[in-house]
Amino acid sequence: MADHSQDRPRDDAPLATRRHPEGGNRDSDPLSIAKAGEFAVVTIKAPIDKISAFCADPANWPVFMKDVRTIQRLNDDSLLWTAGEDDDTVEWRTDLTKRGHDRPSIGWIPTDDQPVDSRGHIEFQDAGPRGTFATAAIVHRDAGIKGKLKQALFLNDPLVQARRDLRRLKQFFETGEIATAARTRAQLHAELHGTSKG
Amino acid sequence: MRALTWHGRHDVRVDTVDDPEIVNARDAIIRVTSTAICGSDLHLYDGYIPTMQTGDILGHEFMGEVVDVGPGSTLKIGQRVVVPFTISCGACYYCERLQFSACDNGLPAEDQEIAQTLYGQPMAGLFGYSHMTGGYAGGQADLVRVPFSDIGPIVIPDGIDDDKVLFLSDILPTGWMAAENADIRRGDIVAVWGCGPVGLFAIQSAVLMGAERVIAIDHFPHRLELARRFGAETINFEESMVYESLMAMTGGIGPDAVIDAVGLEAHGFYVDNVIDQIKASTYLGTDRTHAIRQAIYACRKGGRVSMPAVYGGYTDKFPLGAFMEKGLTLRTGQTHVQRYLPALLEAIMDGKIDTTFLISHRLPLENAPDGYKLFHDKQNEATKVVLKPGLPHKEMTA
Repeated sequence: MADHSQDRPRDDAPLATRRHPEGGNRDSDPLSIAKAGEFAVVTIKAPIDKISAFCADPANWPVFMKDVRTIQRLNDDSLLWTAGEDDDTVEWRTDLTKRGHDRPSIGWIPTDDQPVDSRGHIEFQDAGPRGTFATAAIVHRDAGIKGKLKQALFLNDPLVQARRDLRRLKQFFETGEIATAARTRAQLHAELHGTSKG
Repeated sequence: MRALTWHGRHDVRVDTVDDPEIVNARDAIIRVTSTAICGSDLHLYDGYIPTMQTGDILGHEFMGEVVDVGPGSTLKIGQRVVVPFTISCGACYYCERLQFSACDNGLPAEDQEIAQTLYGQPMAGLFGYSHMTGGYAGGQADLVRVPFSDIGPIVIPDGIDDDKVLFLSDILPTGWMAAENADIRRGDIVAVWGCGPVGLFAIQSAVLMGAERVIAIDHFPHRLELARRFGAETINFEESMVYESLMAMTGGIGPDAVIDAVGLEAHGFYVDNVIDQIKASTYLGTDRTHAIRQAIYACRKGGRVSMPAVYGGYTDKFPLGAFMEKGLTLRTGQTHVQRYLPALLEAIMDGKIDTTFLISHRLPLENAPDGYKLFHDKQNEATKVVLKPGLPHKEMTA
């Protein structure tokens, strides 16, 4: 039977939402680093220039990526990520990507032989009086690390990971702080780092 | 500090826990002077609300004195404040439109998934009401951390007793919004299901908004008696058939507006309610929705349905056909408390709204487990239990 799926007129939904990935050219979609539907969108009540400028510096990403402690820019193209605490840390490297798109965006892919297979793409779209649409796919896949870190980094599926990170980014821009139910600073520390400072 | 903590179905205890601290810049720490047990706390007590964890501090109706503030708070140490039960940022799309209970930023990001999955979008955070609503510690405690303290709490002028203003935290604005959502017009006949605190404040509000007649429905004689104080006519559903009574009392038309102030634990020996009870007790269903079904059935054609009552999950046998065919309008939602506070405080100070009539019991916080049992087991006599931190435990007789 002939496959006419390529002949059908496409709808206006993003490629990353397609039920049948073979029905479109997902290679052209930066969000296709995650499986279909594993991306998140939030509206942030702030100007696109302000948000994209903040996110252009990877050192700022741990503000909204809770499980990541630091991100260091090694050169124009590569990043060194650190997660964990004290003697239970892991580092991995990624390359920054510039996948063709007409919106401000940031992205990263893993370099070879890293303990964490980390890749992501966040893009921004001007939403007029509503602010900025931020769309993200963020994937940290287990590439061999163990213990508490593994639990912290890989507890969430990519959809949840992206949604939580974007929500923290939204909270940071709209309220100036990240919402927490911690009652004490020690609880907050434990929440952020998975350990208690006492 | 001492705090009332949840340990399971019908198991709450006063424990010693760490004092709260300023964690975020906009926080304040409040020393609680009065806190009340809400009817919706009984849903937690009865184990109906998922995502509770052992040791969670309960309480979302509270007020007290500011004892510490973060650099982003606008409160001052020493001020007396009433704190809304909803935790709202004041800055997002919804807060800007005064839809505070829909706040995008009140919930920690980690706690938004359940509501996202269950409801499609996460809502505002709530104090002391499960991890689905943020896992925030509640105010049935000596001290409480209040996030976004520059937006939520309202400062109470000196000389006004706690008892007069405590209910600004939840049930008074909830009753007021229930009446507002019923779009009451002068001359209307309004029926209110449930004469608990929210129902009684909805009755009082409906009268203030110009309702010609209010018909209150319950089965506790004392609560119906309180409704009569505000001029309501009453139907005791154990004595009389509700639909038939409403038709007889409205000339066969039905009430212009109906308010469901009952929620997911509807009482009564009715076929649909028995089925709901069985489904809830066997985890095949969640909510017992007899009251809203009956309200929709009784409402006049083209009428308005207001649902301040708390529902958490799913229902069946919902009279969608009646709803559509009669062209009804339904308005509902968690209360946008912050929106109503200034006007309601003024109404209290002007003597237009009375809140103190509701309080049946005042107990030390140390007696909070007794208070829950009392409120749960003796709903006719116990209309509202107010807890006072700092007082010694007192022996209670059965």
